[in-house]
Amino acid sequence: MNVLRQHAEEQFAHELEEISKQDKNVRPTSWNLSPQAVVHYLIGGKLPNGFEVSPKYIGNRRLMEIAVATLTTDRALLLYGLPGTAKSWVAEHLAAAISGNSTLLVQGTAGTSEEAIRYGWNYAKLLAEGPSENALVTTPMMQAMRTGKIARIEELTRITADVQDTLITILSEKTLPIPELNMEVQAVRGFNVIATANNRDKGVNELSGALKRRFNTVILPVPETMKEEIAIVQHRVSSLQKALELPAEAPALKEIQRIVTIFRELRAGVTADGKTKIKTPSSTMSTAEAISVVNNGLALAAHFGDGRLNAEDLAAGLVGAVVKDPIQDKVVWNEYLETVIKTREDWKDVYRACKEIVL
Amino acid sequence: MPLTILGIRHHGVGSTQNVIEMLEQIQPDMVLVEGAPELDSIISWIGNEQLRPPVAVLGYNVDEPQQATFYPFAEFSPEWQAILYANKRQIPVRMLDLPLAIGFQQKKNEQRTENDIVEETNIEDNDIEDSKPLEPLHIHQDPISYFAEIAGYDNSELWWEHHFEHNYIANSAKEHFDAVMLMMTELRRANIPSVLDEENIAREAYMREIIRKAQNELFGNIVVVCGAWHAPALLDVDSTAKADTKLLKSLPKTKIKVATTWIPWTNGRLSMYSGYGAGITSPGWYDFLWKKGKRKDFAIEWLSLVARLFRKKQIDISTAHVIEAFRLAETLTSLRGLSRIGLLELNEATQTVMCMGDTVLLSLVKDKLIVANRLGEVPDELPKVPLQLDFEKLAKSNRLALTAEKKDYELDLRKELDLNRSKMIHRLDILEINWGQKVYARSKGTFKEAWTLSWKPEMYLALIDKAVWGNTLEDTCTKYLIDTSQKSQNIGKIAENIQKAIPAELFVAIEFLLKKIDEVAAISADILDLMTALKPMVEISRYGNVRKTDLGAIRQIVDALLTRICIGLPNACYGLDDDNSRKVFEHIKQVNEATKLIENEDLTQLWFDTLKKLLTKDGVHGIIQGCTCRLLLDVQEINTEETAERFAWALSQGQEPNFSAGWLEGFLKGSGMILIYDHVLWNLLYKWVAELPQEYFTELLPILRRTFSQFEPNERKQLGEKAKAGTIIQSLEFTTINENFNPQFAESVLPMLETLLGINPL
Repeated sequence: MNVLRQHAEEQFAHELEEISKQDKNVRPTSWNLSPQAVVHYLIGGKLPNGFEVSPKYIGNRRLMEIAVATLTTDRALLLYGLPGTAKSWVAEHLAAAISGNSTLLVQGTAGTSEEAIRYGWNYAKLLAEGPSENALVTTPMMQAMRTGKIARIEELTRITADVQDTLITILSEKTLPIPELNMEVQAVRGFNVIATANNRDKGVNELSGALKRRFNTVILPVPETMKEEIAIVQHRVSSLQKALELPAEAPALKEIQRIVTIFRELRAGVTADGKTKIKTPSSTMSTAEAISVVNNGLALAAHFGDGRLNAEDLAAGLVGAVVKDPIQDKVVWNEYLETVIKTREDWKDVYRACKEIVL
Repeated sequence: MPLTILGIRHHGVGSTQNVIEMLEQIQPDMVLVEGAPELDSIISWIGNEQLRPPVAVLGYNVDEPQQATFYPFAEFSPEWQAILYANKRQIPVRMLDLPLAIGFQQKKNEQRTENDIVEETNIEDNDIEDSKPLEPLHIHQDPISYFAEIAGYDNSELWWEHHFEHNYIANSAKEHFDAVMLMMTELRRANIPSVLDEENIAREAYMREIIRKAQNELFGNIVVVCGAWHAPALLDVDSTAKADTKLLKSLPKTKIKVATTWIPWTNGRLSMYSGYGAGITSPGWYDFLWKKGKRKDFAIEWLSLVARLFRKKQIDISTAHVIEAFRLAETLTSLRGLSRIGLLELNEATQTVMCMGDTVLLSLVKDKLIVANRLGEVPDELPKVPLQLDFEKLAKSNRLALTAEKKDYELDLRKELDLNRSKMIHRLDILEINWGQKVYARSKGTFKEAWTLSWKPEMYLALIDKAVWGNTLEDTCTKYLIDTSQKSQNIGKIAENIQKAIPAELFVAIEFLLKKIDEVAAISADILDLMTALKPMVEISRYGNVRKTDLGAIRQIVDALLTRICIGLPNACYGLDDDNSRKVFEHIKQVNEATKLIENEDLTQLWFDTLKKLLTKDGVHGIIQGCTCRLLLDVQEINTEETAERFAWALSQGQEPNFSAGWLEGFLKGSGMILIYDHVLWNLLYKWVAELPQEYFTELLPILRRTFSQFEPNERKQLGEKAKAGTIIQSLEFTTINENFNPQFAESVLPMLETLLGINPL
């Protein structure tokens, strides 16, 4: 297939099939896999027959267990955290593993209307035939309810409060009334909702108490250790490379280590050895951004460089990721460049490369 | 003769339930419980209504109470329940372990030989290397973790809990202990090292010895309750008899007397490593399991406790939350293939459902429920040292609760009760028992004191430690102060003791200390000592009055001290090196502060005269002279011209540049303001720096930098700007010369200005 990015259930179809074959545990109604198998799919590892499942989420296994367990109860799941902590990524894979379909997705924006969540009307038909089921435009939410699958809502807190509240009936009564037709769509067993929201953005709409109560919240943290973060970046970059077909050599571990170090240090406000205090920029410095910096560098190396990832290729993306506010962040970055990067003996190339990029 | 060994985990709830079941099944005629034999008599108190866990037995060396060990017990501890079972049925109970006395003696011997060993190893280095085969370095690992790893757990505690503590199944106690025994036997057979290996050999030999003794006394049905690791070693008591006797003979002989007593303990401290070498992290949870764990709906009850706790803190938690949290915990448990909901699952459910995923609120649950910090109680009639009794009586009459939680008190010293409380806290402070932490009192006035009290069980140990000094708190403090000051020739230390004794109202001690300080001051040749003592003494004489103490005597001593300082100081400053001069410099500043507080004109004048003497004395370090010059200038004892003269003298060509730099440092210490405003001094300084030969300049730069870097950034900036302008001629600053000025243009706006200002209306 020639699509830019495959859905999780397509990209990992082979893994899902293999896991399903080996899965001997009880599956909840309409679930493709048992809860244990879903956790296994996310965390990765060997199956009893030796088949290697690639890890989708590198981090605390217990968090994934809580997320999966939540979906087996009738509470919806809210994945909460900083931008770039794999919330959408986890949501997509959960939906793919449980329902075999990660496409029942509502993107939350300030302009998301009730019609996007409940149902809309095909006005031409409505005028011609009068109100009928035929004139109804279904939403991913309605489809998920009818088929007993997982629906996803991205960026729940961006949706305005009154629209958010239409979810309350869906989540507590598990039904979607259509008063115009004097009917309702009742959710089939297996239906549930995974929402994501980030806690960094300004101007978000806090969830109402009533809606909050319908969600179990799992906070996805930033990676705990350096090792973990490097593993995430390396893993994701090598898999993204396949999807995007970059011809560059495999990402050099050394470069990734340096990028991750820079990101961690700027995020924590202190150098890795804990000795030097540094200012933190206004940007989030998430793992996802580290991944995109490396990818960006790979693309540069492939098309404009010698095919090998080096400091020059990374510098542009790196500076862009750090400096979001042209005045304050620039000061932070220059300070970091001069006081930390410059002093590191084997980081001379990074220093030079970053220095060359005039802001 | 049946001998049943029950291997337990200290403070393990499941172990306890199984121990009780076994005891009821076996109906023993003798119960042996792990713990030092010295505890034999004191454990008869278990079962007394007023002995409420958590409590601990404190065993200590009578001659050196600092040598002590605690044996904590919770209500759910297997040891506690086993002893309770025996006491209730009047079955004899004995403790089995190595006597504390021997342990104390061993530690003493080790300390004594440590020095010798260092010397010996130097000589015998080569021999040792030859005789010992190269052994791989063992990193001690919790032996149980080998099993946990095989079972796929990364935490051995958790594995043990899941298998032996949480899953109590009625009527299967025998299988439980068989399983424990089998596991430990396998581990020991595999020669897996445990942390306490060497110590354990002697301990287990002694344990066997105690079992043999009981058997010889014809007890036919003995049950032993001991840590699981020891269990296999105690099975065979017959064939090991000979070897044990030999081993026990090699143990150090001791005459150490060990005394024991019960003290209240806290849940928080149960997690501390102690006499058993084991602790637990969630005593509150265990307590809950012990009381409610047998019920089917214990998890729901726990979650409603959590909900209630949150509601108390004004966090909205509905019953629906509890329901959802329970369902999640249940699902998680089955997802993980466990048969019973554990604390981890409950915590995760609480966090996810009730706390919006946040861990902050969970720490509240941890404090209040999982650890549930509280203090146990011990009966009043328990044998105690007199000091402890007196202390408890005082605490009661002063209505100060001995709680583990922090409690704030604001005392009004005009009230009798509050004054007594303050006295008591101060007295304990003298004995180095820091029960109270002084905090800032909100209202002003010296009659207010604010304290935060938090009792820690080990403070009992400190009490017992100090018991040798006396039988009442007052007596003990008095003697302790007198005794520690008696040997001291350090005036500063004695003055500090007086400062402590006054709020504690130890009049006998104060009287003694005053006499002592007078004596020591009279013969003391160390002027620095006198100077250190002055400040606290002045403070006492100024502020000590609230407590109706007669302080006339202190005044006299202060006066005498200052007089002695004035006489001795000039000579003491002669020929001091750099470091000592710096010390004296600090002290002079302090004494200067103190003289301001004394408010005695004659003495103040005497002090200034002394400073003047120092100012012109030869052989005194620059920093001291600079400092005295500044101090005298500040109080206008010398005028500006004189100061400028001294300044010029200090910085003149003929002086050693080192002296000049030191002088500057002393003069300017703390503030460079004077240089900004006094142009004469500035010009002198500027000229001096400009004329310094290069090699001297390099040498002095660090000293000068040290002086100037201490100024405020703003001051430094102004000084820098001034330095740019060079030497300053006073009048220059106020003239403005502007060549483009045209008087005609300027005058043309005047009429309009006049109109605007209303001077010349239209």
